[in-house]
Amino acid sequence: MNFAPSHYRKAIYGILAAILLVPISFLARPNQISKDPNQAGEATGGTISQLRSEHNLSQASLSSIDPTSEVMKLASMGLHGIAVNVLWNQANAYQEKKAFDKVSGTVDTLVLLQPNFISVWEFQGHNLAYNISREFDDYQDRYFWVKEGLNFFAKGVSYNRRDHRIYDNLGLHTGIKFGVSDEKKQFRQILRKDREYVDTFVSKFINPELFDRPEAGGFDSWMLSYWWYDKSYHMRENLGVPKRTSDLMYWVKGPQQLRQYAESLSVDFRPGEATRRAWRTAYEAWTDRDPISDRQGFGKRDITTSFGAVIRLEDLERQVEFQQGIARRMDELAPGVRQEITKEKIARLSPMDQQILNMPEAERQYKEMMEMIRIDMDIRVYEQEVAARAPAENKVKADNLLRELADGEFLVGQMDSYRYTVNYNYWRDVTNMESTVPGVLARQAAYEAAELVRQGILESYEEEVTDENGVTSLVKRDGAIDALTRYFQHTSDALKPYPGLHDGESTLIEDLMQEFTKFNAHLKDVGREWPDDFPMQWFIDERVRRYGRANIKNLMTTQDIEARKREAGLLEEKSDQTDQSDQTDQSNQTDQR
Amino acid sequence: MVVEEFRSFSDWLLTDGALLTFVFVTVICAVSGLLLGFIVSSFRHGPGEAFYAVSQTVFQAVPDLFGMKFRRIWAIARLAIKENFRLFVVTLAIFVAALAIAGWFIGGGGKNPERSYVAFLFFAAQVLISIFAVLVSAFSLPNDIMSKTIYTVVTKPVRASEIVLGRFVGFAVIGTVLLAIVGGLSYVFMVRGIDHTHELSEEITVDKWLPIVDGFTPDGRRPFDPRAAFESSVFTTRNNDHVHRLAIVQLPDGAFDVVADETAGHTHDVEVVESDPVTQHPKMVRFGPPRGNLRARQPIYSSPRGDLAALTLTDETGSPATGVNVGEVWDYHKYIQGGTQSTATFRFSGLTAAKFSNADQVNLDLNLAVFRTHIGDLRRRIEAEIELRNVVDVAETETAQVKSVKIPFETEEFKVQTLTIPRKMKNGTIRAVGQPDRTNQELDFFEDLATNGELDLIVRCIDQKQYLGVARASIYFHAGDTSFGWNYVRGFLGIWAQMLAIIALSIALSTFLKGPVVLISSVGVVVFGYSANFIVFVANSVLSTDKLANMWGGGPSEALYRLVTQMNLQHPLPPGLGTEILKFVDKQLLLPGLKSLSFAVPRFENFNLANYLAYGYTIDNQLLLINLLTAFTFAAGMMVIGYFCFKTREIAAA
Repeated sequence: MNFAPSHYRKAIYGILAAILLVPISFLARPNQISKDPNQAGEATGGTISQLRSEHNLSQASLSSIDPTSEVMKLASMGLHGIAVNVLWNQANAYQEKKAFDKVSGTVDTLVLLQPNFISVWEFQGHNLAYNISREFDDYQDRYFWVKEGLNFFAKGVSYNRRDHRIYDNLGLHTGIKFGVSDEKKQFRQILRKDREYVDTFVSKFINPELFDRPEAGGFDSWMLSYWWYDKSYHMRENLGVPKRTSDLMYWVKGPQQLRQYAESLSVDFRPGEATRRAWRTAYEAWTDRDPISDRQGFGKRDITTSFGAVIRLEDLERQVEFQQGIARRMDELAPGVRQEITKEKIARLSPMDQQILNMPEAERQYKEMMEMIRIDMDIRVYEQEVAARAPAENKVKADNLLRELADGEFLVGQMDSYRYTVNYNYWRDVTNMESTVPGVLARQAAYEAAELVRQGILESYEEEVTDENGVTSLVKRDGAIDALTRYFQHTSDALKPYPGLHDGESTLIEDLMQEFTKFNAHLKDVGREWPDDFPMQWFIDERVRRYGRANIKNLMTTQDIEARKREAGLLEEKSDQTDQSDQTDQSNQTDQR
Repeated sequence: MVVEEFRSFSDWLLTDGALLTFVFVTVICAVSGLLLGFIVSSFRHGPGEAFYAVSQTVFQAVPDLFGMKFRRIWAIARLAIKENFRLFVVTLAIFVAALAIAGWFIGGGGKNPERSYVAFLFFAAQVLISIFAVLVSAFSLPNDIMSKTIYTVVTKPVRASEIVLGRFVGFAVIGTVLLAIVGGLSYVFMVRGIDHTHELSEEITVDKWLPIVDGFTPDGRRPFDPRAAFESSVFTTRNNDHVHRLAIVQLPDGAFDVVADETAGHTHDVEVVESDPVTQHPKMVRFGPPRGNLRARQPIYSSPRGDLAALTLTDETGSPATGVNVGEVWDYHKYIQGGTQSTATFRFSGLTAAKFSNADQVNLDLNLAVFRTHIGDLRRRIEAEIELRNVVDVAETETAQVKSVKIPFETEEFKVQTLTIPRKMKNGTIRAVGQPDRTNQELDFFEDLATNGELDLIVRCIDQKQYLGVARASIYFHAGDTSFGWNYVRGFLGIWAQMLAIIALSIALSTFLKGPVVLISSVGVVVFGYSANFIVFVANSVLSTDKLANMWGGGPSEALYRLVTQMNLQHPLPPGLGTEILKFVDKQLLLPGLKSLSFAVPRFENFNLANYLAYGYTIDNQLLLINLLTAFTFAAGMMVIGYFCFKTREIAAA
């Protein structure tokens, strides 16, 4: 047989290829299913397979294996990166030319090539639910595209069984699109009855009964988003899926949805016991334990901070108490030193500052209150100062206490800062306040007032009512002004126990101030004056004292009311009457005012 | 549907320069062919002999052309068919397998399932037929030459032209048969995939039928407002991946009817089988086949009239304008401002009663865009109005201006919205020179308004601070529907034209190249043809002297440099000789060369007419004619080139 040189070359290539198969088989051999029960689940394949198993990177550990996706990747013969690029560009071009059904089809193909790249699901799902949805003028079309976006996310679940972010996105976008967008009213109305959407898509993941709320008139979007987050929590807590986001912003979501649900119940329907219970649930889920899912409440969650410390937001008060205990122990080690240093610091204050310091708190006006912040800092006694003056025999103990204190202060600082990030105290107080009887009565009165305003009934009126015996009588009906007065009375009762809610410019305060303004306008509409016994006069006076007159715009303070009375000669008349009445009664009455 | 070009066959041939391009390309090819032949022959035989050889080849073409016999061509063609029968069967099997798999992906869900079906089927057919065409024609002649069987053919009394043309005919026939089968199968696949019916999802009770909707306007024109069904809680069963909501419509006579909403691009006729004896509310219903999916609308678009454009706009003061830019990247729609004097005027011609399938009611289809500058009332869509006017001949001062009453409507964005205009319209106005206006006149659409078939249609947006987007294809008169099946055949004619062009191209290349090289070259030319529009766009923008029109990233060599060095498009190239060379190569050689070449190759993407079917429009005859003529001309050119190349080879020189 005559071998040409090319035949030799080919034979050598063949032998080399066969030799290369040996290391390849060691490296790339797939996992074998072991019949030995002791070895079940162990990686038995080549090095690459073992590494995949070790780092949970095999397709089977990432998701259920989809033949379509695998075929697509294989069919692109290693060029699926390029195919992905082409498809992204194509989707963008279609969107630019408003061919939205083609965008939808293209991204469906796109994700088959990149099924485990969460950002693709996040970007394109968001794109469908927000950018494309808003392109349509009709809210019903928008609703369709929002659902398309959410369904797109839902498709991503089976591809990413070890990643909770798909569920997080479902929760986030269900909440925002149905509950916060411009079309929220229409969207929520449609969703309440959208059994087709629920049965076809949502029921694959969540039992519809869980968010079918009779008090909300059907399927509720906030409860749906709550259950999406719960699916994510289930992955983290029960399936051991690793976390992908910061603890604080992750665990806050579930309780947030419950709070939003309570809020929407209070606005969309006439508030009642169901609303109160919803607020109570939100409060408990925020601070202690979620009564619906029986999971840990937000305040009791272990949160790893960016410094690596593990904190619980609800522990702040206990930690502060602990710090105060250390301060007391410091005082025991250095008796009288704190008072001594305080005296020295006060002595160093200017006469003006000393005057402000000695002024009773109730008499301090806005300017003095601002000054007091600085004075407080000036006379603050630091533990280091106390420890420095401790007797020599207690010096070591004092230094140890100082170290303990520093650790504790770090934790307090972290808790405080993390609480501030999620507005923890505010929402704790709001949910607690709203779940009280006065809180719900206030909401009820506000709802009725809004209805009466809509009907144009401002003043109370009498209505003829015939009972079952045929007897006709006149019944007094409230107008919007009466309903608002009730609202202010109940709000006053509800708000007083929460001094933390009286300050600042929160939405609660903003809403309240708006109600005051509306009330004032309604009074003017019917030719009435600001009432002498306005239930929340204490609140208005407090605002003026703390933030100045400009804060209340054209509302009346107690001083204004007094001045008005004086002008009308009411005070003189009263003083005449006082002469005739018992002195003790008079002084009591004045105190009450 | 988006229509960006409105070209008639004559415009394309004469005004757009197709004929001129053809002549130009033919002359260039002829001259360069002669020159090339002469140079090659000079090397072989010397310049004197070369002139003689070239002349002889050229003159022999005359008897080869006129002496062709169909019998001999057909004999060669039959041979070509026979030798490719196996590939025919394999290709068909692949297509059937693709159809079987496609069923997993293409469902009846989504807004318009027919679009997914058409897009997939046309894409699959086009790719498969193109591959088939290249494979059959690329290897046939080179294999014959390599296996020397060609000598048994050329020794027979057969002309070189017949060998080349015979193969073309053979491949075209087998390709046509394959395409016909593929087309037939895909049509059945699509129709069967879309065809379905529904049942009621659950037993219904009277309370579930709310809301009862009075969907009729007083004149009984608009049968049903589909939005009313949105509140309904009565559903059909889920078939073809979608469900319909149902609502009761109370007819003007007080009776009840059931209407299915429009989902997945269609609705169903619903027949009431059983009603509640007390309330008369329907209890049992039966659903008809889907209605609205597979359509072939026949539009009559506006067209230029003399110096006046088909569509003109005015601004808020009523002065001529080009429309407001609302910030869209795609400038297809031009926007007019609502609540002002801003209008869009569409000029129609050829509106005769004979063109409409039902001349008693003229359908006007709208496909308008909307832009809101404020949210307004979300529950209401943007309102607009149209007014019809006859065309007053300025020379004829006696002609009266006839105006219809303003017809208000709520816009429906991204949908084809149909306004039905009765032929006899009330409350029209006639204004004649020197006479008081005659109002409340009854007008006949064809006799009073569309006199001589000409009509102006004026659109205004009613809502203040909101904008209405219009394009020439946004409003058209809907003359009627043609058969979808026939339209489907016309769509496949586009693929057929492409197939012919590819076969001719591959045969021409196979007369002087080896099989694998032909394969790669043919694919290269097809890809080039697909990219021709893009190439011309890049060339125009880079070569333009207007700096604003310049595209970021430059020509091919600059783009390659940026790609390799990972330099972004906006970053200026480093100054120096290298950059100068890059720019010279791009601007003086590559781009002008590629641009010139692009005129010699058909724009293959134009052969895909799937969009017309997907969006439910009849494929325009003129467009079809342009495609067919392009393909035939290209194929004829390729045949001539193939003939001369084959003729110059020694095997067929005799």
